Amino acid sequence: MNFFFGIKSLNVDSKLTIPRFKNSHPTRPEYKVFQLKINNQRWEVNNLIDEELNKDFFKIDGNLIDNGSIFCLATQEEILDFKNNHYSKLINFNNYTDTSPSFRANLQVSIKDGGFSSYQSEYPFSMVTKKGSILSPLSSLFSKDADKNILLLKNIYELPVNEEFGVFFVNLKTKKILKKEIALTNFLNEYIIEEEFIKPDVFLFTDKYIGIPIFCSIQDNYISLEHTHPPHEYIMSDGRFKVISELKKEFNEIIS
Amino acid sequence: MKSLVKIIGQSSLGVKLRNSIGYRPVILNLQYKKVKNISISDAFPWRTDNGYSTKFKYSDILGLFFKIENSFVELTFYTQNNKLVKKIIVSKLNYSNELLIDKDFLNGIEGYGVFYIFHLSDNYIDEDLVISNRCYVGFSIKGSSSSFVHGNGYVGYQSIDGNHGSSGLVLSSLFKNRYRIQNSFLEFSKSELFFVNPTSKKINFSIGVSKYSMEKGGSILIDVTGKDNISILSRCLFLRPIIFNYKDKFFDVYHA
Repeated sequence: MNFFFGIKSLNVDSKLTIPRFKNSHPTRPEYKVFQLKINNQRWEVNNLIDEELNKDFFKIDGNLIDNGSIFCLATQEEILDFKNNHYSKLINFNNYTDTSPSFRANLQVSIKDGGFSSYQSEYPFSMVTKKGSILSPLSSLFSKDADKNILLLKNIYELPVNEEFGVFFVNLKTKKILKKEIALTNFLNEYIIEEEFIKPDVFLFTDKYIGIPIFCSIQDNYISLEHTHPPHEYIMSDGRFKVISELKKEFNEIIS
Repeated sequence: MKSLVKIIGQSSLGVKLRNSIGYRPVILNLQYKKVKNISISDAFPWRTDNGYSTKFKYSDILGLFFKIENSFVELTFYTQNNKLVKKIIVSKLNYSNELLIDKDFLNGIEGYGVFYIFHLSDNYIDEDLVISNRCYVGFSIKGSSSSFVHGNGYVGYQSIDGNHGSSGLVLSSLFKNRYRIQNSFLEFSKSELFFVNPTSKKINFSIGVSKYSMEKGGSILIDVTGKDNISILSRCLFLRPIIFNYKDKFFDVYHA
């Protein structure tokens, strides 16, 4: 199954449009949208009964979005299963959003009286149970010419905890840490990126948790939003995880 | 017995049968597996029509992941009708690289089409590499900042020594598949879909009552303004467009 999320930011507004239909099947009206957030070390679940754009879409506006909330599609019965583990751990409620191509919601950001940008987004359950590290180049999607480059880093972890982990900006050629930031699990973390970090040799690297890095650039009221791919998507041959692991080891040595 | 079933299932006839009946369809033609060390490319869209220019950002995969020095990339550009416009080689790669594709770069052509990127090396490689650059393509209108979208599929390949290659990797089925785009288009003043034929043959497809076709390597830009339910019916097993949405003077680009 997939989770979905929005962005609460002082820099941009956001909204989430979640389809009720699979990309090759009709709408299933029994599937509703639920909001999950951490409350007292438990996952709190809310049925967003009124958030219906039309028969095909749920529209989650900025007033329902905060950086700790996530959303999913489920039936009332499936959500009841969540009770059995006392809301102590995210569970794979259903396979309704396990489709090929992937089931995605539209995550759109906008600026007041300015531009808008979006991508078809999802956070697969398979990522929710994993720890690890993210590696992504900064200059692939940021622009030195932009007025503002914003890195948004979303993590969803199965346990209802907001644990800190490190976000490093590393120059691979000089093998130096340019800056260290702190991120929280189960949160959408936001960082303004300095212009001098936007160079081919500079990478984002995290030390304990994975997530989805999203790159947002604003220039002259225009905006661009897109995520990068994990390194293993660049290699399709056997042994790709060994290759990635070796590269990440290099980064781990720099940050340790 | 299991392995015999697997061998039959993965044979040319087996794949045809699976794709015909829709049982665990095989989307990609696996002919590339017969060639050692290959670089696979999407058919990335470029636009120079209506004031558009295109920015392409790509990584040095061989240098970053495999520490292969002096690798280079070959980029080939085609019109919407699959006529070769130009081929360039870029050497001296950084970890991240950028190319501006405007009408001056494309010999004065104002239009659209696709391009491919292949990673090449003159070094002997004692492995069996299959790599694919996911890359990012940014679109700008009349000098506005670019709206970026990442690579969307696997269409062509070339051996890393440059001696072998082919395109049209995506397969078709005997029966039509429906793919409905999972977003609402009601709020936009104009919407366009950019399709590329990822197969090795002419394909036909329809959106509602409108019918379209693309020759091998061809691309097409379709105005779908005012439609909200956009379902694509085709025998192609992976036909996902890039979406261009417009509102006031702003626009957004993302893959479906």
